[in-house]
Amino acid sequence: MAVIEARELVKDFPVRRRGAGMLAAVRSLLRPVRDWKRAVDHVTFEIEPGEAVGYVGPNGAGKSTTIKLLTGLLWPTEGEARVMGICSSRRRTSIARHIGVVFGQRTQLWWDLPVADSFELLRDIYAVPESEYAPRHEELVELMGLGELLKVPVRQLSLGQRMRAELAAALLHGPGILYLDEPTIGLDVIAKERIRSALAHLNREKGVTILLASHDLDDIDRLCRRVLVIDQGRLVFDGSLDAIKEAYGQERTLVVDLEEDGGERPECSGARLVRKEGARYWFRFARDERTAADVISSIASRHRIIDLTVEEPDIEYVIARIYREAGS
Amino acid sequence: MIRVWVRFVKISLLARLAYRGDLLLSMLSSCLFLLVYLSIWRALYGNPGAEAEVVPYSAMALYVAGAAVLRSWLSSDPEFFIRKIRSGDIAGDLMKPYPLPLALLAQNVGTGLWRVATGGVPVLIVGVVLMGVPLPRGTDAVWFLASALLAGALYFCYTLAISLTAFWTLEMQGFHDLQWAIMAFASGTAVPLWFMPPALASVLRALPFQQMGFVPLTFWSGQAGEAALGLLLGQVLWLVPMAVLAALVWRAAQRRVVIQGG
Repeated sequence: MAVIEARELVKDFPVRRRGAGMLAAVRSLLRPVRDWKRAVDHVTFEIEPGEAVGYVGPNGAGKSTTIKLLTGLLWPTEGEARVMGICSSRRRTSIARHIGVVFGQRTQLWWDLPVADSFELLRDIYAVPESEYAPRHEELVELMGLGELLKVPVRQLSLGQRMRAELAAALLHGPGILYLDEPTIGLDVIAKERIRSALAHLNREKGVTILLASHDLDDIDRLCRRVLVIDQGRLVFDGSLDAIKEAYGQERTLVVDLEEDGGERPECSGARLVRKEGARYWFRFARDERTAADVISSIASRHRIIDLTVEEPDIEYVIARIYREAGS
Repeated sequence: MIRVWVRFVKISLLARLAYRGDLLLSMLSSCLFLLVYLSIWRALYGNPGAEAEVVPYSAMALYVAGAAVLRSWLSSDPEFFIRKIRSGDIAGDLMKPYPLPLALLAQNVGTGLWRVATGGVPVLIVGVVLMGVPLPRGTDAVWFLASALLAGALYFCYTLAISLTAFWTLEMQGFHDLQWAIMAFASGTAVPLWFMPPALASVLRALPFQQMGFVPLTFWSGQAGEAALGLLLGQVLWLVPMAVLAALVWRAAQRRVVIQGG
């Protein structure tokens, strides 16, 4: 049975329309004009227990809104979100025990107090029995490397440290489902990696179902087999990461450094030149039409190759293509 | 479940402790306020034209000092809530398995206790020791305590209903200022209803605001007399519609949640 279900979810937001300039500002003060913006547009998907699903989309695509709908924080305009079979908007407090949520730009820790105080409050809020709480607390402190940080007021933590504390805070009541909205935003590479490996551990060892909204595709690549792609509120792709690469990532890129030979423009049949920088050239070709060896030998027949690399389609490029196609 | 509310009271107390720095300054300003009010009333009482006083000066001095204590108890921070809505941190609170208003109430009790202990009581002591303010009679103090608790509950419902409208407006500084002014005037904390023109006084008596100022302070200054039980009952009667109002606004707000940002 699916633990998370979104059925034809729609969410419209009112937007106040206002022209530029003083006159328009005054007019909108007197008679505000409201438009409706559709943030989420008939989104449907199901997530099985233990899955780690990436939720990808550009800024403003509707990722956060979907998560808020799933947590019951927002009421859907149409459709329904269910968590563990329970309608999330109508029974928000009953699903609260089953889910943990981390919003990268928000905090649920008490800013002025040591982390440990917030943890104790959360234990009482969720009425976690001590026999359950103690081992889980120990485990999370270990996993997130919090140790000494427990005594430090939250406002003195670095962003990476705070995010680890946020993650632990979201898991203290032992939820089976974890929603993450941009958990690595603004973090440096090492801090990101720490968060990712902790999440991977939670998913693989503990069986926590994860829905990870991010536009950092490395997060997704590292953690999720399945990806949902959303663009302008509509779900444009739902499938495995490999399938995306397969379907959209047909094109590989050959990068060659050629010996300068009088400015002649290098050509190659079956591959097109997409970029040039000094003596370095980028050729793009379809994987199923030509092999890399073909392309290389075709170029080598006319020019002296000094160095070369073949680039597989990276996921950013692939996703960008999905957006472009969804847009047109 | 009691445990979590106690924890909320405790944690908001601790959070206030983090700002020990502004403690001295706010105490100083409260003392100045007390001095200013006392001086004004002393001057007014000294005025030969104002002989037909309804209450003696000693009761007025009690009233002014009591107002300082009451103000510290009722100065919950509606801004706190608005900031949360604007920053979107309210999301975290809404996703917890408890009704948010109760958590806010517990937090308000925490900050209220803190402010009474660090603001109201020290200022009262300063007033008694340095400015010759009298202390209330024991029984009056007990009545005041009960009445101040009811006033706190009323004030909480009232501010909750008002701050929740931020879910609609997302902006309410002006509203907040207005309600602060209404509160200062209509509650009778600054000028007791005794001194208002009869017509105005009867209007204010019909409004809920005096229940959060004038009524508890009537007890404190020993002016309740026979009416004591009736006054307390009046507060209880106002608490019912106020609580219903707050609950209704809360229900409507939940359906209208718009989290800012993200």
